[in-house]
Amino acid sequence: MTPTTGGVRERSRMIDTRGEEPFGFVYLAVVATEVVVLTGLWWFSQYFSG
Amino acid sequence: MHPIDWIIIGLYLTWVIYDGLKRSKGTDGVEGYFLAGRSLPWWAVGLSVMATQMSAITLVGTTGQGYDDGMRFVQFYFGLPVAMIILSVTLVPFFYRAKVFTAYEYLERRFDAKTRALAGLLFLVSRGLAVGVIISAPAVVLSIVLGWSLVFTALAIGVPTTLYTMFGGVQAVTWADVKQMVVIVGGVGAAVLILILSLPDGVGVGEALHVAGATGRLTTIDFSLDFTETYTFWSGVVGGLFLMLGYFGCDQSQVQRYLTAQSVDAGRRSLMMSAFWKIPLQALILLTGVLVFVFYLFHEPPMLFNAAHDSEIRAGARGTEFAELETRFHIAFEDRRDAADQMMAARRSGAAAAITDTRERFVDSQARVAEVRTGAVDLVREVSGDTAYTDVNYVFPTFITTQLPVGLVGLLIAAVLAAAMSSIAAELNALSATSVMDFYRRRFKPDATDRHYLFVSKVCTAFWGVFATGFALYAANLGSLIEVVNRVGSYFYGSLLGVFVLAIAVPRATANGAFWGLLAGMAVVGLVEATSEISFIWYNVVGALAVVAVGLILSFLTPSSVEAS
Repeated sequence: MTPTTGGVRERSRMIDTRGEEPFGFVYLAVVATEVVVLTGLWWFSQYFSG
Repeated sequence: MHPIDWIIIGLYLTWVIYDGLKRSKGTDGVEGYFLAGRSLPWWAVGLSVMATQMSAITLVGTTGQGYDDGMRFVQFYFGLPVAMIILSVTLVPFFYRAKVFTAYEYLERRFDAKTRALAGLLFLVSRGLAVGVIISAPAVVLSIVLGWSLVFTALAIGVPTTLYTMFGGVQAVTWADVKQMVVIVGGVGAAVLILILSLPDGVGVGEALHVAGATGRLTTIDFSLDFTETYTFWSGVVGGLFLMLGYFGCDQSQVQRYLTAQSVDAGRRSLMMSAFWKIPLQALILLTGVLVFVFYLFHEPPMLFNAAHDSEIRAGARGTEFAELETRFHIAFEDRRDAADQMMAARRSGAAAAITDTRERFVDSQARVAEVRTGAVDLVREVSGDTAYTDVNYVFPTFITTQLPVGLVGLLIAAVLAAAMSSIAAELNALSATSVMDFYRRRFKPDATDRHYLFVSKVCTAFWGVFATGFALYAANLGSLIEVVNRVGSYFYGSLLGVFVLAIAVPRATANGAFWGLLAGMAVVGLVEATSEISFIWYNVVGALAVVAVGLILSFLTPSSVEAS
């Protein structure tokens, strides 16, 4: 660990998807699951509150 | 409490301490102590992430909220899955590849030592006090519900947690979290089963939920765009996104969890576990609270679940008034039970007009019950002078201790203790890591041996454990102080998130821009809080945007020291 002074920067990629395995499908699955869960909660709310 | 329940709680406490002490054999260096040698499997880290987020007050407070207000609180977590994806492609690889011990260490590499020190100090102050509250809140609830002394409950939570965290380090924290999540989910599942089995003969779960739904307790999504409301779809998706980015990306107690993973991919996968399961789990816990509400439609509940001031009021000048409220509560309860029975009978008959009429009657009767309860709460506040008095956090513990069978009482109390200990242990471990790595090693003793740092790390963990437990006993009597502690957290997360956005997304950002931007961000949040009514969940958005804006302006106006030289 080398302390640095103001202004010294590490150039890194903001979006870093490097890894041993691709995660694109996992992220898509997370979004799809959230859509399904939120839709389910909305339906649940409408069905029992109506 | 039955001796069998005592035995279960005793076994649970013995188990976590024994296992924690056993783990100390694998922590012979500071990297092992704080990061488990970056060797833990993703599923254990994922469970640890979830256990750390779920404190005891989340467990008892959320069920109480489900009972009192319904399931709207679930919207608070709507931004979490997307936050986890964003962190997986940004901060997780950054931290992991930088081989840092703490999130704030990265800020020195990117900016400078003072930005690191400020961020670390903010974490130590805000989380050091917050961990006291995390001990204090359940300790107060358990002491009142179980009739134990506050000192005993605070020590029962604080001492075992400090012991296993101090000796076992992050290995003990993580593996205890795994067991604690099993105890928590098992306990909640058992409570749900008992609640369903406790429904009166002939009453189905669907019918019972329709009755609860009539009171608005099953409303889970509110699309209104009201910045003063904490629990709406938009505050959850936008404000919650920033809050979760700040909490999981900049709070060392969470960052340290995924830094222990075997690889970048394992760290990502551990966050994906929360992304998939957090909202359903939170919905289940809130539904448990709603089912407790349904249970108490058919079994008379206490007028107030928090009996802390009951005897004082009964013996005082307004004891008669309190007794009258209890009589009115009993009548209102009987009327509500009758109305609930009629509503369910109408639903079975299928007659639309009868369903509407009985539903209206039930809603009216529920309003009368709520009115008496509000009157009782106001009376307690006036007589006791305890303006922060509430009984929401006492609903679930009261249900556990008075309604569950022998054995399950012990399991559920152990679940509450587990929820408290899992959060506290992670905080203590993170406080120690920041104290040692960001301050002691960085500023006071940079060239000591690994063995020395390991020793100091254990001493620091013990210090924070003693401090937090002591502060818990002090905070128990200071409602307003607890509010202040929570407020510091909301100043901290959004603003710190802004600094990390500058660090990663703005190559031109300078150290001075980040440092003064962080201070300006917290000042702007303070100003917004003082001059507006917006909900605290939006403070995270305000703080992050203010830091980025001020940081950008300063970075472009003032060249960095290196560029200047």
